[in-house]
Amino acid sequence: MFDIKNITMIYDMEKTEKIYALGGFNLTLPDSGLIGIIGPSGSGKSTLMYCLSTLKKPTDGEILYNGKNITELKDKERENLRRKEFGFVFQRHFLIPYMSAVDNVTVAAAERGSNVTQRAKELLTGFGLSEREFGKRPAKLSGGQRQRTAIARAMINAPRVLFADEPTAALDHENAFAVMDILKEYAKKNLVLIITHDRSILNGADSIIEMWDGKISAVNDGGVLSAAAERGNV
Amino acid sequence: MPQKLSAMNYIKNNMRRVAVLIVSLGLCFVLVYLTQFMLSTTEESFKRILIGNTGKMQVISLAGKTTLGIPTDQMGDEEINAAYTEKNRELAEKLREMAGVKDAWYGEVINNFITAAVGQITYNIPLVEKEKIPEIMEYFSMKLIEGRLPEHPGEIILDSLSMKNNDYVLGRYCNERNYDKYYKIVGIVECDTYFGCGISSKDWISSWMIVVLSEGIEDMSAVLHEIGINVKENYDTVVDMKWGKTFLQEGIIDVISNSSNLIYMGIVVLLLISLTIVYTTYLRDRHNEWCLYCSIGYSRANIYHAVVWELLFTFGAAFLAGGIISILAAVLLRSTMLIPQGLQCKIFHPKAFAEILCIYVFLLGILQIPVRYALGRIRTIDAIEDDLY
Repeated sequence: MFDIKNITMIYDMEKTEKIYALGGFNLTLPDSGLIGIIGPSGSGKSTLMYCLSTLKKPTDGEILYNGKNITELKDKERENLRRKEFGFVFQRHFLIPYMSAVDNVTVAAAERGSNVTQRAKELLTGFGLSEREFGKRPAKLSGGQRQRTAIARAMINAPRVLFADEPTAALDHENAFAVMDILKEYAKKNLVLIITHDRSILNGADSIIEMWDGKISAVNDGGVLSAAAERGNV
Repeated sequence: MPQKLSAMNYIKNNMRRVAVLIVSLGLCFVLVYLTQFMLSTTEESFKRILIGNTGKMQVISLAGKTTLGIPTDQMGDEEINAAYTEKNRELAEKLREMAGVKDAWYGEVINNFITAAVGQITYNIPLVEKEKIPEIMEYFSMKLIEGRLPEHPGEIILDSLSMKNNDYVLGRYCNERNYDKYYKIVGIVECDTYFGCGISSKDWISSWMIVVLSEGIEDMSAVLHEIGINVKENYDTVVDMKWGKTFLQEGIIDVISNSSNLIYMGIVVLLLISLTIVYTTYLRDRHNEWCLYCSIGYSRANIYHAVVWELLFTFGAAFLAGGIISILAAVLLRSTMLIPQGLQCKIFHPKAFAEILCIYVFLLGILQIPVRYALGRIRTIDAIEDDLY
């Protein structure tokens, strides 16, 4: 699904001492599966996710998504891709404070229709929110419920790729594993990329990519990733 | 169908905020409309006198030396008075024969005041013989509704609106201060204009003028010209419909318009400042929301579209609410303040509606500046996260 070629991301381009967030590596990601990206803060894992999801444009290199270079997309194409193909769970939930939990989920729907609300409710129910909580605003929900609502929002369009940056950070262990079970189930037919510090939630992940200083330091792929990671860059 | 950002989503979930904007804009509507409404009482009331009265009765006062040609330098006071009276009587007779003139005479008139929300104006009350009063009443379609007709010198009848406006009561005196109780009100009539008539008091000499009853003659100076009198603006007084229309436009409407424009400008400037501050605060609160929309695939155009609809809804609701409240307030003011004061008013002011619409369009245009600025500041979530970590 993703074919990443020599991806480089440099911050502070204008300064003499440049910061390499991504140091130029190749990577191929499959059409489906749960892929964990782990690494310490500043290792470039979030930058990699933002580049893959078109939120950031890499300084150099290509990202092919289904054969198309998504670093050169026009605005309209990029918007369509984000709305229809990708789903996002950010580090902070970024829920809209004045909307109910259900509205926060449906606001991301790509298509309009009566079944959107029904699907939002099903997703929220699947993430353990009761009907009583559907109408509550984020301020009235617990931290875990907010995060689960954010995950439901990311899944409302049944995206081909789900990007999740620390999706379980605000959840207790029980809830974290419940959410991971749903994501694992979702990953059977779609690609789920999870960034985390917590290696324990990645038990059962199809692949784990370890990053260090903007480069891939290890790939625990179990044969899923096509050995494309340029380990020579490590 | 692709889902669009719904303006209603923001509106229904932020009723208090939207209500603040609607109330502010609605209040602006009510203030502007009621200002126009109250000021219009002057125009509407005075129009009755300046157009209504002058359309039926004209009053002429000509200068003896310059216009009537009386050699006043070579005459004593009594001679001047006699010559002046004679010339005016001759002129009245000539006028009586002119086409369109029903009657004309040289006689006394007194003035009565009408006070509106802004300004005061006087109208002429002719003083005639007892026998002539029914004739004048018929000419002015006056109907006696209370009291009796004047029978003795110093008695007058007045229309009901003039009575209310001046707080007169039957049996009391007209212009007590000015005429020192020489004209007693003995009857109240109903008619289309502010008007009255009576019998001259023997104890008080009022102004003597040529009084003309005519309908359809707008320019009495032209009629006078036909009989050899050239009216000189600086020396002579001709109170006819032409003068009434000019005075209404230049002395009333234009003056009111200038005042009301100043008032509107003050209201708009105050509203503009407060609205911009409040709305900018609202927009600042929505920064993360818009960044999220942008990150999950909505374009800036989608966001702008939703904001424009939110604003249109707010302004539309304010216009509707302001319009309804203004009309209700105008009806209430008319029945509690204006009718009891004998003043005329117009409830509907299409011009005020149009002006308020222009004000709203102007405000809507100005609010595009903070909206465009806020849209320009939208970033995707990654940039916000970068700032945080």
